[in-house]
Amino acid sequence: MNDESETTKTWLVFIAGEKKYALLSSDVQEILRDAPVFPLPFVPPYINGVLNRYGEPYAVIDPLPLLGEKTQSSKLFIVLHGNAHLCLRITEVIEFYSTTESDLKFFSSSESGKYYVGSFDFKSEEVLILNPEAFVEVAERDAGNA
Amino acid sequence: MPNSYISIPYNNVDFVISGDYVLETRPCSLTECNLDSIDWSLSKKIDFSSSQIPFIPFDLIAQLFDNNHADFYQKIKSSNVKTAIIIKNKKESGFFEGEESFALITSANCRLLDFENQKFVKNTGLTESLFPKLGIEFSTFFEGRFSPVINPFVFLEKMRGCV
Repeated sequence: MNDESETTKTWLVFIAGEKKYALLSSDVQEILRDAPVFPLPFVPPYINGVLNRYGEPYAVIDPLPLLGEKTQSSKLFIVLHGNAHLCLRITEVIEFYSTTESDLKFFSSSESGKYYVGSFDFKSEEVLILNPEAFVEVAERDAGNA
Repeated sequence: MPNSYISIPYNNVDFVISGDYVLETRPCSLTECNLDSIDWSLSKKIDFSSSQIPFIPFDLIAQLFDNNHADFYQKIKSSNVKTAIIIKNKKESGFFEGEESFALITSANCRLLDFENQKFVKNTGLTESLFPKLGIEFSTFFEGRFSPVINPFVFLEKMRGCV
């Protein structure tokens, strides 16, 4: 297989807190800015509340507490594709960035924790690829225990 | 950040009294309202007509939906009570057991909102599993504010569990 036939993937590279992360662009439905978040009672702190997306409540998750980092107060959100109706709070969007399969380093589950899929080099810096399903799963689990 | 409107399905409400009718509240120590101040032992009751009805400050519920609890925090004194929403108690609910009714009292004026043309959203996605556990049956965004419709029994049981 030569380089020209190698599959490319496009990522949304963003900052959450102080670190860079990436999501597969096909997992991203929309990016929202300055949307008010309405808090909910009795939920874990990483579930920030809900925001209004075209008249429907979408749950807002700050991924950083789940990753062992400090919470964010930014007003920038990634709306995830899928039926979960979920947004991730982030700090700043950097750019959409394409890689080939060979650029990717996949983690084994033991070394990554469930929230990371792998990583790639982005302008000489390692960017961690987030697993959106893991956030959906933990939120659904905690929602069930609310 | 706007506060949320909180609604109660009308079929849960027996009646609403406001103004002078609720001024004769029994003297109580509700000068500081926080979750700890809720007296689930029913020693504090609101006087209405010739009966006494156990009450819960509705502002506490609103406070739980507010972004900045400290700012929205309101001290309720009995003389400040403007509205009491009387909820018919359910015998099977186990909530305020033995009482026919309980009241949600508030220092704010209640509005009977005209939701006739308002689109209410069924819980979907994560909210489908989350909201019923919180006692939120439906929700909408009314005048730009998140407006949950709460089942008072489920919500207050949840609230009691957190005290």
